[in-house]
Amino acid sequence: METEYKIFKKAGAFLSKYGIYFAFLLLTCILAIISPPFLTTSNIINILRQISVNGIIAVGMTLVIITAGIDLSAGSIVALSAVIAASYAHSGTYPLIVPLALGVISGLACGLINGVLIAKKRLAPFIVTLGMMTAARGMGLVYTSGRPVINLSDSYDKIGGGYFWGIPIPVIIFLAVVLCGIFILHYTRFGRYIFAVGGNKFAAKVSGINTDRIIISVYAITGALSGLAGIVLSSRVMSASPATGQGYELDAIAAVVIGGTSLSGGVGTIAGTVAGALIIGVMNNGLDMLNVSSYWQLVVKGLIIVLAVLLDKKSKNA
Amino acid sequence: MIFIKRFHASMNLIVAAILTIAVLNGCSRNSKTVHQIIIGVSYQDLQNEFVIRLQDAIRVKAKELNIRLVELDGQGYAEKQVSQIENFVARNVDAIILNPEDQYGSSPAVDIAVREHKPIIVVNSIVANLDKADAYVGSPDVEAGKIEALEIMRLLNGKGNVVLIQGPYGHSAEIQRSKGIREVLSKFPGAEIVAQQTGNWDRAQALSVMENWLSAGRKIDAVIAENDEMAMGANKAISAEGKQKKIFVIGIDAISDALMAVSHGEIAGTVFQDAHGQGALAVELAYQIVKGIKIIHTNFIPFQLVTKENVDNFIK
Repeated sequence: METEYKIFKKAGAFLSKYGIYFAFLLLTCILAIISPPFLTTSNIINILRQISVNGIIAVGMTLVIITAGIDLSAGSIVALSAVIAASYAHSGTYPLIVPLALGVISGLACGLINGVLIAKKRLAPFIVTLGMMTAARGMGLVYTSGRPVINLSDSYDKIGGGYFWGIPIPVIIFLAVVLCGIFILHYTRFGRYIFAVGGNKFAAKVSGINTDRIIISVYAITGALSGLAGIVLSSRVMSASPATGQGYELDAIAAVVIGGTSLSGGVGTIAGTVAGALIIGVMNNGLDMLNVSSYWQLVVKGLIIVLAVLLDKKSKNA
Repeated sequence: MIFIKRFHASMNLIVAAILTIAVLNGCSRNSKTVHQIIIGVSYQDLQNEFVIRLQDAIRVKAKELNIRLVELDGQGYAEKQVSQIENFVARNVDAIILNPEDQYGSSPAVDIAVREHKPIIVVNSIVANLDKADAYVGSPDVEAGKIEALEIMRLLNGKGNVVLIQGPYGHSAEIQRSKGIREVLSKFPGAEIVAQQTGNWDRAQALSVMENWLSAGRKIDAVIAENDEMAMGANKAISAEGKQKKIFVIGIDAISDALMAVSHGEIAGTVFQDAHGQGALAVELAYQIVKGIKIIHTNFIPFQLVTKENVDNFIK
């Protein structure tokens, strides 16, 4: 009797840690059974490439949400950075490093403004980043007069369309961002401070942590990663439209929350976020492959997001 | 992505309302010229390249006729356009040009103008109560769909597997273009629509959808996309798989990089919609109606198929 109970408790603890990964495996298995081409190497690469833009943003978003913040401006920053980077990426003008640097720097600058207003001026993250969402979208439109930036160089095309050892470059960039994110969040003092700020900001401050600096940093990082995502996105479609990236912040938030990070802060992992992004990506891909009616796709996607979080919550209570 | 788009609506609305008031105030303060005709223009969405071209044409023609414009952007929301028309009425403009976002949602805008005895010209897309408006200038979207489907059927000799990448569901242009495409394809027993999905007019989204279809291993002979952005996205997925010579792609709008792709033989064609002709005629009609000249109600500006043979006429 007692041993049974112990086993149950152990299984519960195991599930609580890995619930979201089981949800992902379950979804994968179901799709693999009903659609055989789903589990081919080319399709797996395909899915990884498709989630890379959302995944890059979601890594930054995880840091922000762990501090109990939110960043609604990510999608607009994607568009602004994309058009700025692309406008310096016409063939035979600047070396590749110029559009890359400008894309990341413009994202970083937007993120810094967010962070300073939130940390120093004590404004609500929701409002500050809502303002940035609108303003950055507007800046992108002003910069381009509303027209897409086209005629990008072949070297710029390589970022989104190229391969390295058979792996698409967007996937490599995504993996590098994930590894850096895991390292920073879980293996550095800075990472521990991020958790501390989100868990109890007052206690963190009293114990000598420069909370303002932590908050400014996480928004700046998310801005820079959104800029990077903008570069990957524009080079993938070989054009940058100021209208692109709408709703990307919410896809990233969905990936973070599905991945078990609490919107009230203090709890979360990058690996969970990657699983969350994978669930969303696998779902999009699988439903398209099965030719599910697009109206129903929306219903199914909504249900799966809520179910994944429900399963995660239930396993944590077990 | 779409399931959260509405989320932006409410927030954008507040910001836009404030901006609208600001713009209108700004305009009234500056009104010094006495006999100049003032026309209010409500655009469906100035983040769309075609609508921007329409705006360019309207501005050029207005300048030519010495008309002052008050321009507002509906930003993709019909309800925004309705309040913009109310503002035009309050602002006492001489005539209104409406470029409706939604066939049904934007129609109250026409009712308001009619009730307040303001001449209203509908341009480009249609509204449900089009007969109440003083005039309509545009190109019937059903035709664009038909032109696309006919060209693809010509290339495939009337048989093959076709996939459809559609505009945002419920958008008038999507409804009308899909209708035209289906109407033509249903006449060819050998042709089948094997998959369809929305790309929300977006290149990146169409790219993902096409990648997923190609991954599924289904045989695809042609892609009919309801605009060029999505055609270019689909083409990107196809060329990555090295199937460019095997799958025909066609779009609508004749945007500049689609024209380049047609001339290089990367995509089969596109359909040219005459933004300049539509915008110029809309202003012309508004001018005439203010001057008391009788005008024709329905003014169609034909679409033109662009293929490799005639693409040079369209590249500027």
